[in-house]
Amino acid sequence: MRVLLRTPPLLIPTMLLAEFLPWYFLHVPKVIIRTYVGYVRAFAKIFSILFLLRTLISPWKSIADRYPENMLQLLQVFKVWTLNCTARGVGLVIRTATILVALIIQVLLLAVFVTVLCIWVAFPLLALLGIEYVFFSFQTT
Amino acid sequence: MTNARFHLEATQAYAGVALHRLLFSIPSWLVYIAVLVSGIHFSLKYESPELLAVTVITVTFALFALYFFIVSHLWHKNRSHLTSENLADRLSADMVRMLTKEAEVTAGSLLHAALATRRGATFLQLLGVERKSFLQDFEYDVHKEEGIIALLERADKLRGEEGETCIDGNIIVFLFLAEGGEEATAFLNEQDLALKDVKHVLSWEQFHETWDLAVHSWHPERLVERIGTIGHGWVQGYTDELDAYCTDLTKGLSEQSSSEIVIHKQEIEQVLQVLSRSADQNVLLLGRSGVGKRTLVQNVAKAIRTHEDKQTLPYTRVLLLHSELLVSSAAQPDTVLLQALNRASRAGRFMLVVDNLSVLVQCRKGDVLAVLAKFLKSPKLSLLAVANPQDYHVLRSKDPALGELFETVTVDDAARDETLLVLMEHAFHIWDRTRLRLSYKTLMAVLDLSDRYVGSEGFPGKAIVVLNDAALAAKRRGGVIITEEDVRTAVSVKAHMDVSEISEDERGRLLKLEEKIKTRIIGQDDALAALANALKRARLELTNRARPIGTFLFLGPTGVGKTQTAKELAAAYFGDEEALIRLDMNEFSNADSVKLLVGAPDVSDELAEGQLARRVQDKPFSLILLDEIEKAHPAVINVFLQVLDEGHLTDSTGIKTDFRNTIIIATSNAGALFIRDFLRAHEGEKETDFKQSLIDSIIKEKTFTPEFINRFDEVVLYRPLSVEDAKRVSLLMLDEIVGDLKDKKGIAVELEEGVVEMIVEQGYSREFGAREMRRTIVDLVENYLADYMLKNDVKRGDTIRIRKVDLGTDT
Repeated sequence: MRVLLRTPPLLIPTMLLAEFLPWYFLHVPKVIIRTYVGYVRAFAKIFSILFLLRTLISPWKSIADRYPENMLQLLQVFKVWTLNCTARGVGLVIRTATILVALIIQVLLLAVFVTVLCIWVAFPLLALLGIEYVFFSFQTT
Repeated sequence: MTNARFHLEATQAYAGVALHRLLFSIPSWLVYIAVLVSGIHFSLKYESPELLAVTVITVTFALFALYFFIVSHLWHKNRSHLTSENLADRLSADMVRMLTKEAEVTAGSLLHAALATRRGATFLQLLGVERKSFLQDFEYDVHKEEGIIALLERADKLRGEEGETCIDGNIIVFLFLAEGGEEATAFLNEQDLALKDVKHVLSWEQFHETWDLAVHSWHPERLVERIGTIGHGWVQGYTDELDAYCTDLTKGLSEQSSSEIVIHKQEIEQVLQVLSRSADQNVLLLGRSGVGKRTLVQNVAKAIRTHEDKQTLPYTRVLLLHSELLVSSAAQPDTVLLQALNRASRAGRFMLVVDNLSVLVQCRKGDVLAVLAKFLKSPKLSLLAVANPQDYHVLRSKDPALGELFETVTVDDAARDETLLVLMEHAFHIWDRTRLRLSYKTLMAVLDLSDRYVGSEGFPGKAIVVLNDAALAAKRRGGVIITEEDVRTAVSVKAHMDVSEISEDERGRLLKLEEKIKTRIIGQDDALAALANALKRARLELTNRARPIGTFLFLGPTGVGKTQTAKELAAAYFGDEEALIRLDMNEFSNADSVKLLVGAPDVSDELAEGQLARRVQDKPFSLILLDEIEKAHPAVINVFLQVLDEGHLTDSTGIKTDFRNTIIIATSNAGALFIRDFLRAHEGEKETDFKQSLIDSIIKEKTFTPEFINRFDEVVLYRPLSVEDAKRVSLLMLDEIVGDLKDKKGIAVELEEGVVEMIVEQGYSREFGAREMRRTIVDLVENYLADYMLKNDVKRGDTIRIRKVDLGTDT
């Protein structure tokens, strides 16, 4: 308490007005947005969407065979073609699924971010409404 | 700063302290509980749970927001200053918090507060001083009327120089030590610390702070490091055959503890440059054990991965080939490797790291090197081979084409400063792993002792090994701090030599070194005193560190104990007579004999490896005796100039051998005639004059150059033996014979009075010294004993009496 007694009487209220309100309504929302952007970038990097798109139809795990030099060996050509197509198909399916998962995560991130930001900014108002609701309830009872 | 003032209360940090105490003191918590109880009461009374919910949520959120406001804003180190004149506003929140506990703000209370802060306490701990003992030992007058403004202005200047955002406890404690006047100097002297050391500790503490505040595991950047990236590996094929003999260094690359300190940056750049070529992307890393070749490979792998991440390129796999496993487990390693590399080269781009190239090249089960050579041109494969210089030169002597396959990058020892930084970081790892702490002095002991006594490996590796071993030693004795003694224990084990602090016992032994050798070397008291004094200086680490322990030139006629002194010294100093490397310089009398010492430049020459270098590498703690140095060729003497001056020898292949743990003694008969004549002519003259005259005479005769003589720590002069000395020598020799016979055969020998005098009379030679005496004793005594034992039936327990008349008959 000695600290409080030594403190000039108007310092804390002044500090609250001068520092707290800009901090609450400007600084913290900025921090929330920055954090959100950080996570968006992190998940974009983890799922490498750009790389997945670039290699969307590349053979899965480089499983591919070479076509025979004599293209008249139709059966052999067909076998190689089937294998290569299958490898590319598998690659396409897995990469598409991964891209979808990445997009879902981004949507979830956005939802969490918007919720946190709204709650933070609107909380003083919500608290006032809540208190008013409680008093209103008292009056009716 | 003009208009500077100090108002602690007019700072955000102080307001934060006040607000924190207002909101989170015990009375405040009682109020919150009262509100909660009222909420519960009214919600039950009016059957309205919403009332309770609203109360709890509102109060909790408000408290959370205010706490967050205090910590992240009012106490933040980067907070804005209310005014530029108030120096109190430059203090860290921790300092302000501690100062509010002091009755008044004085220089003394500032120091007290600084020591109580987290950073101040860490600074002291790294300095190796307890807070309590610091306050006792550092006799700073805390009531001294020192202007707080002037003090803080200096602290603020230092803060700026150190790149700190606010004045914390570390800055204040450092300031008191750096500018604390006589009290600070006395304290630092008592702690055996220089101001430069305290500055290093300040940097170490700052490094600790960044380490301590490293990003948390949930931070986005850390998340990417932990999870890695998905999809890059899907374009790479399977490499099962190769995987059986390899470890993927890129797997979990980001999870590996990232190091802030990166050494060999230039070499990393060189490797990356070679790897970025379109062809011939093969590198040979050449460096001795411990210089950080493996870490360099990991840093290269990280740099490649970072580049590929930025460019969204498919990943390059970095595979570490376990050569020993391949060679020992595969019946035909070359065939297995060929198949594995064939398949791997179709699977995508990869870099093969061959950790121990010599194992592969020397493999007798097929030509593995030829298989590797086949793939060296492939753009999909880069080969990063690692070898130590000795092995490499042997390999090149067998296969000269090897050098053309790779671009060689030499990895040298890290500098002492770099090693200190690596050790500072490693200390944090040890703390994380074992909770053991260590001080700056311990760190310096690791650096100095490993530098001095562990010559076989390079920096920083050997220092890290010593630190780890010291941590184990500390743990074994149940300590919480790694002490200098733990470091000495670890180094003693590693160097096979006792390097513990000089104990009372050893102190006695060192002091008695001269006495001990004197019992065996007769008539050379002045020479032995000079020798012993030089060695005492060396043991107390007073001598120049970049030279051998001691270098001596023994001058004197033959048979006066020069070589014997070297033998006795090896036994007394290194505790082992085997620690003597004796080179007869007669064998080094032509220019070609330099090869015997440093090896031949031509790797196919059978003398490619230098004899002296190899012997010192095998036995770093030894006494090197260069017998009859005057007979060596001048080219050979030139080789020794480097050793005597710099403490190392660079052989023909560029390999450096450390001679800093050796004692080098060169003996010479040069000037023997001068000594004899001079002493005859100038009986009783001062030794300094005599010595200088002798050296002048030797230089005049061009036996040695002045540069060579000046390289030695001491030129030790051996005088010809006097008759009295000769008698003592003969007694020593006779004692040896008598003792030997008693020990081996149990036969006692008694000498009649006058026998010794008779031997001395016949064996004394001013020119040949003890050598002539030895010959006389062999002729007279040993021959007599042999004859007697053959002629008579001498049994164990019998006594043989030697009379003058017996020896007289024989002669």
